[in-house]
Amino acid sequence: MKTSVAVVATLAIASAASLFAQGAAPAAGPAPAARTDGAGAVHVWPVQRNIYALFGPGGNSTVSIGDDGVLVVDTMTADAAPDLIAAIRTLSNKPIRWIINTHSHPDHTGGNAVVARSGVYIATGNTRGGGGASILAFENALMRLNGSAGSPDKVPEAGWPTDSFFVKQKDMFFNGEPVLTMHQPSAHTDADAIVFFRRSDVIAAGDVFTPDRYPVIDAAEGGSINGTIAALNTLIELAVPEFNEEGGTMIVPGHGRICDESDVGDYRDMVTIVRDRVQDLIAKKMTLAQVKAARPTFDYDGVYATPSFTGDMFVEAVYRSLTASPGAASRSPAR
Amino acid sequence: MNGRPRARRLAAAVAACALVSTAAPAFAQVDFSGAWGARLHEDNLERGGGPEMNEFEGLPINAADRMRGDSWSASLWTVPEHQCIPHPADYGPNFSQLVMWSDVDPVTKDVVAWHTELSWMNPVRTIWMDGRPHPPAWAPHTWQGFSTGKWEGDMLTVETTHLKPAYVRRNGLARSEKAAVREHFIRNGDILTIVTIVTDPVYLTEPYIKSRNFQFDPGYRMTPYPCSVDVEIDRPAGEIPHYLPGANPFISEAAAKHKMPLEPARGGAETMYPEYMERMKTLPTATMPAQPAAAGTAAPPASPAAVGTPARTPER
Amino acid sequence: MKYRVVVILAVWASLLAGRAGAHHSFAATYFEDKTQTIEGTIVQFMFRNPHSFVHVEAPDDNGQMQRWAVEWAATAQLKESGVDYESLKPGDHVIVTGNPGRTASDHRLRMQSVERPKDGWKWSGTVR
Repeated sequence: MKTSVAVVATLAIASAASLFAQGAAPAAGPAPAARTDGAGAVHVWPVQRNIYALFGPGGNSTVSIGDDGVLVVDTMTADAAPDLIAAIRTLSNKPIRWIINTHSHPDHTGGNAVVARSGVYIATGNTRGGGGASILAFENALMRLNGSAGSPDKVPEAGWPTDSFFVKQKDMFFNGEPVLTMHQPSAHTDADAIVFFRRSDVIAAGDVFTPDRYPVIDAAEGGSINGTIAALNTLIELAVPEFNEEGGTMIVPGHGRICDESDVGDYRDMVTIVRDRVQDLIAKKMTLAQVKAARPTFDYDGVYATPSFTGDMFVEAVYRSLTASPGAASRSPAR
Repeated sequence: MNGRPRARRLAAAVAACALVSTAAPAFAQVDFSGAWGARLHEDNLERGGGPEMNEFEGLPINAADRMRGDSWSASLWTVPEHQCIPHPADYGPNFSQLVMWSDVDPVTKDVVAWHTELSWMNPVRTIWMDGRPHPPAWAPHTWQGFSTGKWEGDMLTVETTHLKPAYVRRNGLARSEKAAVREHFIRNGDILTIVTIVTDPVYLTEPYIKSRNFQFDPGYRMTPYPCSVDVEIDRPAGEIPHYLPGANPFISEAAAKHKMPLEPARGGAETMYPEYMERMKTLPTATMPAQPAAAGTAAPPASPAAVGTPARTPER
Repeated sequence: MKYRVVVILAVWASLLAGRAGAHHSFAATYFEDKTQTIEGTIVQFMFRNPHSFVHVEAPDDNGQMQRWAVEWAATAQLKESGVDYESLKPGDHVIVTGNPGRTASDHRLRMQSVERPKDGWKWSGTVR
């Protein structure tokens, strides 16, 4: 497993270089061997400067590699955690010091305990003891993971965030750059955060942006369609493309491929258009069944519908979000 | 009988046989280097000023793509994230001057890559010739995609994946990012022909094939085309122009204007084939749509206050 | 007749060879068979690619002041016709005629002519 992860990582780095080598003279030598993606393996892809994206069976992680150590955004599922650690070890032997959770769902936090245990907390004096990497999340995610919010996301204590914030943004400086963890209210859930690596110019978006599927709106955890659209527009405001709406700020989504601003723009357009269509049908006093029958996602289903989250399911989520009472299921928004 | 036309026909037949032959050695490479001027004689009206609203004839689109086209508003191009988009690899050869050059391995003298650049927006493509594999599914997509090429006789065949979502026609007909593109670059003296075959499992029922010709233009010099993103239209940030289903007032306009039936303007694979013209003769001519009260309104009904809805454009 | 039209189009096509095509389709964006004239004050002149824009504060048909967006050509085409970034300035009073956009709420025109009565400066042409 370790060997396959290492091989995949090496080939990924070579492929990434050729993808963006527009106009550059390529190095002479034999062509890279064909790669095989083993089932269950965590795949590595270098994004930009310090930042790498890791693609696992349940979702994506983003890691910052540098002299300060390793910072991991989202720890995948519990099952994938050993592969995640092995993949990180192909990039750096430095200690894992920080985990940041984009929200509380198990495909993003399931590996918290295992990954944290493999890391270290570096401090002296009268500060938090117990070792292990620190885990940062928005307060609502902490409440769900520690069970105080009565959520199914509850996990044993070893997986709880050690640090939380309840305001708009939590900043730190790590591996030579500002790392901004920015709360996105009432989006996928009410616990979402995106992580902006400002000098590397990479954003780990979590599940507010999932280009391989329709956005899942977890209404029970305070998610909403309008908050999702606002979060996508926030990503667009932060991102700056390098040339011709391509490159520049790169975005690692919660699920799906690596993207840039124009990809988020396309996705935002789709979500906004579907929202507008459903809103129009609600204004015409249609029932949910009638709205579904109108097939407001028909032209996008071929791109975004999946067996586990169909166009109908997305329409229903949008319908319920638009017809819900304001503030239903959401904890207090960040100040 | 004048022998000259006969000799010309014979020469043309020999040349055609030479082009068709695929049994030639692998190193029968052709040099595409240089500048090429676009010749817009095929599909000229679409490639020049652009297609009309809801004019989908001649394209193998499915119902989902038809809905994309019916929902599309040209005002979408003014949204900042859309302003500086270059044409993607499968659309670029429709117009623009083209420059090609190669990268040569200094030891083996093999061409390791071909590059193309177009004059409009200056997009640069790399066509890898060294047999490297295409990237995995999670790699970024680009406007020009990831291209690899191989020689088939004198013809360079290029396979491209990892394209960003774009369009098959500039009136809203989408081409998805799941599409693959095959091209054939064919040089015949001073004429370069690029045949493009787009296969899209999401929006096309058949491969979409087109050819574009270029003429060698050694005097051409590529010029820069810097693009700036600005606020072109003052609208609330986050508002996306589109037509709600059933609200597009222009569906029959192009067909009526050109005294055609409506059915062919709705596109579909059958409209690509010459035998469809017989069916067209049996169909009634489209009628011009009534002038919309608020011509071309695309703004959707006011949506409820979004969480964190940003302010109107000037305050951004 | 049909074949003569084809020949004319072929000749026109070869003349157009080398002209960079537009990002968007003008026929899809504007009512090319209609014109509209506005008179007002320039608030912004964006001399740029892919298309230059002149923003003019002028009243609409109901007398309400709007910020009109008048689409012009790319910089290369404008320079060919004698227009550069200093040809118009914010504050200039102008009369603009153009094709109206299909989305009425955009208050948008495709430039056909612009005139500055103060000094008689004029431009007219076809935006490609």
